[in-house]
Parts: sequence; C-alpha cells; structure tokens
Amino acid sequence: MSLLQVENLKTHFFTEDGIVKAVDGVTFSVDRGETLGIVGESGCGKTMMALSLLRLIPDPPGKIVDGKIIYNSEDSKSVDLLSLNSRDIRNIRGKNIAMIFQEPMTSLNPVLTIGNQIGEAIKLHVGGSKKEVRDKTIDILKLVQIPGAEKRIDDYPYQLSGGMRQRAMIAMALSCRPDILIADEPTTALDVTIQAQILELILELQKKLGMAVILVTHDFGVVAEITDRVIVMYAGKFVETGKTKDVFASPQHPYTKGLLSSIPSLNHTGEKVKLKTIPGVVPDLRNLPKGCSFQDRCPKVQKKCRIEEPNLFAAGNEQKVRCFFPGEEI
Amino acid sequence: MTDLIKIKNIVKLFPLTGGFFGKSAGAVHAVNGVSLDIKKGETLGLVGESGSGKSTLGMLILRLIDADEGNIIFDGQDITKMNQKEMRKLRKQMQVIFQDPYASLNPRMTVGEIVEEPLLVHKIGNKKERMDRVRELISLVGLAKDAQGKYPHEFSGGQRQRVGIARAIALNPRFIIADEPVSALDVSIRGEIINLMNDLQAKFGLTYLFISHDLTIVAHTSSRIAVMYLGRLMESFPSTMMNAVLHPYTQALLSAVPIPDPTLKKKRIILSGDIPSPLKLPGGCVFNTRCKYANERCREEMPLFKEYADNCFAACHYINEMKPLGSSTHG
Repeated sequence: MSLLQVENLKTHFFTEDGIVKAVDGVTFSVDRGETLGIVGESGCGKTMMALSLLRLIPDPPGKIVDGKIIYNSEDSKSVDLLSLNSRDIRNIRGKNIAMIFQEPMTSLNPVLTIGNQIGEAIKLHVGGSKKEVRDKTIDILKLVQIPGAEKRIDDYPYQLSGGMRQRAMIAMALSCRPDILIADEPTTALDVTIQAQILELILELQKKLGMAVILVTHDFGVVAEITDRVIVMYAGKFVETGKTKDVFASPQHPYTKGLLSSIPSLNHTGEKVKLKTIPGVVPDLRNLPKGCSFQDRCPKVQKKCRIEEPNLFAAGNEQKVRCFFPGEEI
Repeated sequence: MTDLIKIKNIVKLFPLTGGFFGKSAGAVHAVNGVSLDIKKGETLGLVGESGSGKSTLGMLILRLIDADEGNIIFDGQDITKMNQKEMRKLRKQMQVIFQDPYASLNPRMTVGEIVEEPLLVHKIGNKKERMDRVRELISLVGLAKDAQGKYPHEFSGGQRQRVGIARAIALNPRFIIADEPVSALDVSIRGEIINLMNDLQAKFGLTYLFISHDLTIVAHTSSRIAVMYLGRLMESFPSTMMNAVLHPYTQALLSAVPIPDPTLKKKRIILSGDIPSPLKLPGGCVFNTRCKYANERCREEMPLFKEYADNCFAACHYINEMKPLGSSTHG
C-alpha cells in the first residue's frame, strides 16, 4: 500500500470568466522513501495540485470538486484527506505532511524569530515545556546544517541569507518528522551554488528520515538529479509519467520531448546552433480545445487529436503517456 | 576583431550612510576593479550569482550610473569623461533589454507607442517615417502586424520580450546589453528569444553583453564567458573551453548546474557557506572564504587577473596547479 494515493483529483476555480480547471483528474501515488518529481511550465497546475494535497486551495474561488487523497499512515490507518473536518486536516498538516514553498522570504513571518516559528509547529503537534521545545528547535536547526544553531535560533528572517532562510523553512517543515514532504520549487529563488547545497540537504535528510518527497519544479535538471519517478503536467493533466531514467532516456509525449530538447547544453562547439522550441503558448485553461490540450503546439497532430481526448496509455515499463501517437519520431 | 568596448579597472562603491547626521557606515563594493574587453560583433556572456555585481557593471557601461574609478572606452571614446549631451548622443548606439518583460513595458502604452518612443526621444523622422519604422521593427522581431495597436497585457511573456527587443533595436544600435533576458520565461520559449537575438546579431552585426546567472544559457549564446564574484572577475575564457576551466569558483559553479540526464554521475563540488557581504570583503582573494584550496597567501595577497592559456584569464595564485574538472561519467 502506498503512503499517499491520489485518485482522480480535480481542483477547479470558479471565476467570473468561467471555470478554470487547474487540476483536472490526476491519479498517482507516492511511497515511503521515494522522491517524486512533478514538472511543467508556468500555468500547468503543478502548484495547485501540490496545494490541493493539503487542502490549502483558497476557497472561494477554488474548490476540490472530485477525487480522493488517501493517506496511509504508519499505524496503518487509512484516511481520505478530503473527508476530514478542518480540525483533523490541521492535525495532518505540518505533522504528517509538510510543505516548503518557493520564496522563503515571503513565507516566513518577518516579525518573529525563526526559533519562534519552528517552535510553534513543535509546540502544536508534539508539545513539551518551553525548554524542551527550544532544545528540539536547536536540534532541528542543526539537522539542516545551520551553523551556530544556538545563536541563530534567535535571528529574524531578515538576518539570514537566502540559502539559510530556505534551510530554516526546511527545518520548520521537518520539525515534526513528517512522512511526506511537499517541496514547491524549493530552490528556484536561489543561486546555483546554494541550490546545490539545498538539494543535497533534502536528499540527505530524506535518507536519514525515510520520508517521501514530492518535488514540484520547472527544472528538468533538478528532476534528473534527485527524483526517482517523474510526472510531466500540461494544462491540468498528466501527460507523461514514469521512472525518471526511463522518461529521460525515451520521452514518449511530444511535449516531454519538446521540453527536453529545448534545454541548451553546456557544451559549446563554437558554432551557433538554433535552440529547439515548442511553438505557441499554453492554452487558456478556461477554454480548452476539444480533444487533446496539446494539439495546437504539437508537431504531429492528427485529425483524431482534435476530436477525441487521449487517455494515459501504458507505454512499456512503468511509463504512461497521454498521446495517441506516442514515441514515434517527430 | 577589434574591441568595441574596453573597460579599464572600473570601480563602483555604493556608500552606506546611517546613524547621526548621515555618518558614513562603510560602502558596498559592487564592482571592484574590473577590466574587460568586448570585441565587435561578439557576444560576451557575463555570469555570476546574485550580488556579484554583474548588473551594476552593465549599468556602468551604459553610464546609467557613474563609476568611481576607471575608464570605459566605447569605440575609441572615453564615456566616463563625456558630458550629458555627448552621452545622450552616444546612447543611440547602446541599448538594453531587461529581464522582466512584465515590468519593463508601460502597461498604458500600446506596443506601437512603446517601440516608437526611442525614435521620439531622439527626434528621428516625421510621423509617417516613424510609423513605417515601427511596422518594420514589429515584423523584424516576429510579431503579428496587428500587435501595434495592442497593449502589453494582451501578450504572453515571450511576445512581450519581443516587444522589448524591438524597442532596443529601434535606433539601430551597435551594442546591446541583455540583462537576464530569458530568466523570467518558460524553458520552451527561451529558445525563441535566444534564436531571435542571434538572428538579429547576424543581420545587423550587433555586439552583445549577455548577463545571466545561468551558465547553460550563457554557454549557448556567447563566444566568450566572463565569471564575476563579489565585484571581481574570477575567470574569462572562450565558450568552447567550458570543460577546461581552472578557477575553483568557475568549477564549482559549473558542477552545481543540474544536468537533465539522470544517468550522469557528476563530481559535485559543493561550496560551503554563502557569498560574504559586499560591505566587508574578505582580504586577499575575495573567494578565499569558500575556496577549498585557500591558504595563507590567498587570505593576504590579491591575485592578479592574468592569462594562463590562450585567451583564458583567471585571478588565482595557483591557477597553474589546478586541474580541469574532467568530463562527467555515465554510470
């Protein structure tokens, strides 16, 4: 039994201009100790999906209209997170499933010390005396390798560098030893040398604590370096899923192919080569075309693609692809 | 190839004032003695992490801010000594493309008006000539004809960046600074903008300074690459020499770039710590606090920026003892 099973999850936004189907029927699972990457361009619904898992969708205008999110905790109790009342879901958030966000400066409270903010989660979910909470906070700061944790605990977010703030965020997320860590673009706002530090840290902590990591990103490089499995999202749906090494070795969906080939290589031959691109833009989610959502940008679109919507078909190994004409050369 | 721009030992400090009566509280050393040449018709890539001073250097070259020391020679003329009137004339020849196409276009102006603006400022042509030029520019950057009457919000990020490029080339400049031109764009459309910039360069013989934090983008667009750290140049080299770089900072930067190939086993160099504050620079080599090879000499003596191989320059005392990273192995 998987740690988290998501079935046919649909998150829609009801706006004046129509219904935005940000997440439209996604099904996946994640196991203990596994790193799952969710990758896509801006507006593909990856962040909304991550927020839906913890029911953090702003309502109104957003609403989870269908689906199940089954969480199988250690004591083998299975719960559907969507059926919980607001008190019970609050007990899960931060304790069993924790989340880190993209911009550490805006997601930390600027007027509270980081010790205060990390301690709050511990106090809430684990409890203990003031001293115990403080000791635990220092431990967790040491775990995320913040130098001089005993002193840093009394720092305010503005006193920390970007990388240190993201470490503090991770410390906060890990303070109650969650089973699942959802990381939404955890390194996007950071410099590459700091990004390397943070990714290394997440991997190390995962090994140490045995948690599952769901990593949301737009960067295929990050996906290749740290994930075991990957999901490629487009217009609210999964277009390709599989083991990371399989998807990179033989991408089946024309969108995945296009994305992978549009990444410039580090090797420069001295000649100017044209970069490959995907023509067009992501379609308006309020007004998706009939049939496949990728049809207007697809180099091998057929009549069938404009009439019928493809399902996620199995494509060897554990790879799945939402395309009538997968694989074949473009 | 001759040099279009020669930068000589340029220094820019931003003084901090605080306390009673604006007492000086030190200064941010944004650019700290940089010398660099940009050849006619080339793309020079300038990479560095945030706070390395790469954008400040760009602003200094355009003289949007004044340097404290040093000279910038543009096509034989020292622009640091020019008065405002002369400078204004010269600015026709140097333009800039900004990072954020959402923030750098006036939302209340139509695309036609935005592209016409530089022509108006420099009083070029009459109404009809300007309109013809605007139409020409809009088709040059690959926008549809009807784009002229639309407002920026009606376009996607990639198209907006095309508008920014049309505005930049309106005056037939010779030199363009592109400051992170594709960082705000999705991967699948970055290529479009880079291809467009390359096409325009070939067509009009433009010279680019391409500023970016992303080594892969710079490797793709530039013929030479200069690496900045804490206001200083660490290394500069032809892009073809990417795998042979020797400076420990360039190597760390290179090895930190995530490569989209899960079978690749890289030797990752993880730099410890953060960039030191530019308020209080480390003595000696500015990289010594994060360099694993640093010794006493590095903490005391500042290394000179000198040629260690053909066209490869670096500021490191021990550059001749460094070994290249070596290609990563598949495993």
